[in-house]
Amino acid sequence: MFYNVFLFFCAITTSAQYKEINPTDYLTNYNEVLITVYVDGGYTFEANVLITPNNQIYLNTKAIFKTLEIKCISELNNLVGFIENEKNLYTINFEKKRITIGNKSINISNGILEEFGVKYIKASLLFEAFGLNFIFNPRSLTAKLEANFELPFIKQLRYKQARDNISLFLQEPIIIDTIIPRDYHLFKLGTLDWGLSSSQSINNTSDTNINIGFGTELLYGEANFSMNYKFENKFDIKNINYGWRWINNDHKFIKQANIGRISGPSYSFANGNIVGASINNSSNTVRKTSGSYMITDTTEPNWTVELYINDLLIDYTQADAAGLYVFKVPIVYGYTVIKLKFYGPLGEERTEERIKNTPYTFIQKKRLNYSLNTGIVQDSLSSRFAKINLNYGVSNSLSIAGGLEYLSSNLNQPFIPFTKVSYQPYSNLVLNFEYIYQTTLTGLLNFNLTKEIFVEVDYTKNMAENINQLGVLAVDISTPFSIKSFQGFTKLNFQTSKYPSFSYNQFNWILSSYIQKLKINLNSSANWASGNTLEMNSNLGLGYRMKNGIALTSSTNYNVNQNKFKNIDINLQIRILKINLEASYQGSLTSKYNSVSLRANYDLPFARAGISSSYNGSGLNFSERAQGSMAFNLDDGIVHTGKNSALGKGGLLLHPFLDLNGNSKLDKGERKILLSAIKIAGAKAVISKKDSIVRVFDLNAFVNYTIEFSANSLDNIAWRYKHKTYKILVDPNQYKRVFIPVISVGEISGMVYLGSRGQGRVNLQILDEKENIVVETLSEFDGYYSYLGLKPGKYTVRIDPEQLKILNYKALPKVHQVTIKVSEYGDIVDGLDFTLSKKAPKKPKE
Amino acid sequence: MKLLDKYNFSVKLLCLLMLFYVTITSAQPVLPQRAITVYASQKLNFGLFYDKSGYGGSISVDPQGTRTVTGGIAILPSYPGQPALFEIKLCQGRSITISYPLETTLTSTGGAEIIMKIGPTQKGGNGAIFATENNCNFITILRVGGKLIIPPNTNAGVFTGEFEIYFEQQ
Repeated sequence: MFYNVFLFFCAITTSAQYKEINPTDYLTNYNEVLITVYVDGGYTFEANVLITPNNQIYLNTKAIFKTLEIKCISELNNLVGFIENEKNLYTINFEKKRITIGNKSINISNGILEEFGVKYIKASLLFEAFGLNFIFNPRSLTAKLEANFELPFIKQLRYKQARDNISLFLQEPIIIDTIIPRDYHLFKLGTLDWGLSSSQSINNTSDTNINIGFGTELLYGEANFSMNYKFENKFDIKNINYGWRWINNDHKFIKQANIGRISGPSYSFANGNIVGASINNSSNTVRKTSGSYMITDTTEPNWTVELYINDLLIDYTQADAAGLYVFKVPIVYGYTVIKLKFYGPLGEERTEERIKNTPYTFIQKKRLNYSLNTGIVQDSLSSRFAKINLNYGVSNSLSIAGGLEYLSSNLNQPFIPFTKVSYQPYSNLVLNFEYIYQTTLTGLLNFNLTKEIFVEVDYTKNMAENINQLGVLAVDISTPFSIKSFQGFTKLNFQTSKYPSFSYNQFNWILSSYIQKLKINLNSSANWASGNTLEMNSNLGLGYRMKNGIALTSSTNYNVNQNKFKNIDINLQIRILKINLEASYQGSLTSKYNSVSLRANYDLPFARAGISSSYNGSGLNFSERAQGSMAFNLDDGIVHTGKNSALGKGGLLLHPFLDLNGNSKLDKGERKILLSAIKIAGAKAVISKKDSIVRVFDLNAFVNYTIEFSANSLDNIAWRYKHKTYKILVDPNQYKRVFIPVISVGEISGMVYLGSRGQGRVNLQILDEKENIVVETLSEFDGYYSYLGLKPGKYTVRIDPEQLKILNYKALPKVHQVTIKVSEYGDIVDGLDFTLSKKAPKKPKE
Repeated sequence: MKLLDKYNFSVKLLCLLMLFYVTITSAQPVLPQRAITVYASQKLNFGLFYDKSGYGGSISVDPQGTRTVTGGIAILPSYPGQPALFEIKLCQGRSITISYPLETTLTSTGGAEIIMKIGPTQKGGNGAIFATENNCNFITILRVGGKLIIPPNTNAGVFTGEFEIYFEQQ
């Protein structure tokens, strides 16, 4: 802890009408000391206090109240405000030497001091009046502050923390000083995806596959073309995928538009892709409601899974021994797309994105969202398809939807009307009903029984004549648990399908836990049809990760009916020299099937490559694959290569530069500078020492990203970011160039003297050419002052006239005129000294 | 084997695959009430699964509803599989012989193809013979499984297909 102790050897007798001690006593008996004050909750602040020889402290009430954010206004010789709530008013009357708070009045005549214009009150009186108890420890020069009410300062910090958490959730800080909007282009390159794979088996069958994708910005939107072709098959136009997408959240009527292959749930089953167009007025931003629901799924053991809502990273978690992961997904307003991304423990990344259907669509109160899809189905009949969906927010917790779907090939019923109601009566309960005319009636209930226990009930009644299944009822209950040191997650699922003459029932129980580094997953299931035998089996998965990074997983399946283990699966993973090696054995205990496989994956800077070989009873198989991507920025002549898909993504090329003339443009004579760090939520930045460009890639297009710069990332003390926080909208298939101006600031310094001695606590003001106060600074205890951070320009430095007036002093000179020159490493102007002296008393008028 | 009142019919099954999600649905045959009646009640459902390494493999659902994978295929327990269920009523005759093709092809909307091997059934593999009650009101439920062969680098998508299964009354 840094603290500063000094004696103030100055006998100033200003308007000392409250002075309780003579100057001599003051000089010898009181010390002004900077102490640290500790507040419950782990917060601290520093305060200047006066300490008496018997360790009593006097506090600058106005400054303390300002720090604690207690309302305190100076009115003549009074301080007025309120404590805890607006009804509890107080007045500190320095003239009458009384504190009045509510009906209480306290005499403070024995506990008030004034030093250089600042009024101090004895700590014990502050406790008596306001309940603020400063427990002073003279040994450590600290004090603990206890209050009998929640300090506004703590309350504000609590609110701020809560808001910060929300903004973290939404990936959006509260304060943004610069917004970089979209750059629109008629046509601009672009991104390229490529992939090649081949497999051969010993019986001479081979399979070669090529993927190629091309992304560009076209007609101000994102345009992607991709093709998947197998050499063994005939070329089919269906193998080409194409689409154009445009998003503008500021547009009133159309916020999103798509042309090409369109998706969306269709109630009339269309056997083929739909090529056409879709528009809607839903923004792709995330606005959370108060509820949530749970998703549980599986990936590979120990993998990290990221949850995205509308392309924004919301949460992440790690899968267990059997790859089970759980997310509590917040319900957000509007149409929602949920994506999951997967990252392996050995540095592997799988860019697979699973898009989940969200069960609910809530619309903000009195808002109408629409979506319109139309196109041609790529089937033998070239069926025509159209769908309109309207969704209205009756209240923030009740949304109703309705629409009509048309499919020309449904001769009996080409038009299918549908309606939907989503209702959230409580934050922990969500209900959803959907009726599709003469097809299905669905009811869904999501209920958070407690903070942890989640229940989902889903019922579907089939009304279509050609479906034999009458209905399905599914109930899910999931909860984390903790029994002493045994913690985990469990999920029960029961589903019954009703048919005219029988029911088919399924029961599934998942238990996931860990013992130290051993992860355990037990998945048991049973099913039975009316009159049929109950079929039961259980799957046990174990996973163990050693300190050297070797991961071992195994699983076995046990058939309860047959009282037999059916199969066993053992997998060993290790990373050596950036190569991920994997060996696995799969064996059946009920048949002669056995399989051994070896895989090696290597991530190159420009591609991901891998080979695999496996042997089972029927022969030997080999497989090879490689995939990568490229992104082009012709403005900078940069081609970025990567191992993940770049199609539909975007990137940023940040150019930090020393903006000497302050015009925010990189001009001739100005140079780029190398940063040591930047902070960007939900993305990774690479700082190039070669060209000082910061590259941020794998960003989702049409999404705002927030980038924060810290002054610590600059390697010169005189450099400052012109803007510290940027919100940048990512352009589709583009590496967007953004200039980050850094200015070089100047420093001024000098001394304040009172007579021949340096004087502390003098307020110095620095004014710009328009006589606006740029900054104020206090002189140190020895009279020295300095300020670093002035942009090039002309300034005036003066002592605060108000302070001079109160003290009845004058300064010589009155002001210093200063010019901060443009300089790469910052201009320094020193020697700006002031000398204070007492004003001569005015002569009385005769 | 002497065939009495030979009556073959086929039940067409429709297969859906959504993000490697395979589910087999059925169109109801409209049959006169003759000696044998079969309803394809429940879809053959492979649940949700994915190819974790891109090297392919297989996934099978046995008649008991248990899923088994080989190669790089991984299953998602939240979307379990289901065997196909057939309701069989036999008014005449003693037993039924089941026969079906070895495999059928599923195609995705994107044009990709995967092979589905049909069977086995609860009563055995292709050519299995089983007896049912000769009571027209008694329903025998037959479970049928299947196996999907996933080639390397199969793209995710919605796959559809059909297969035929023959019930031959003896």
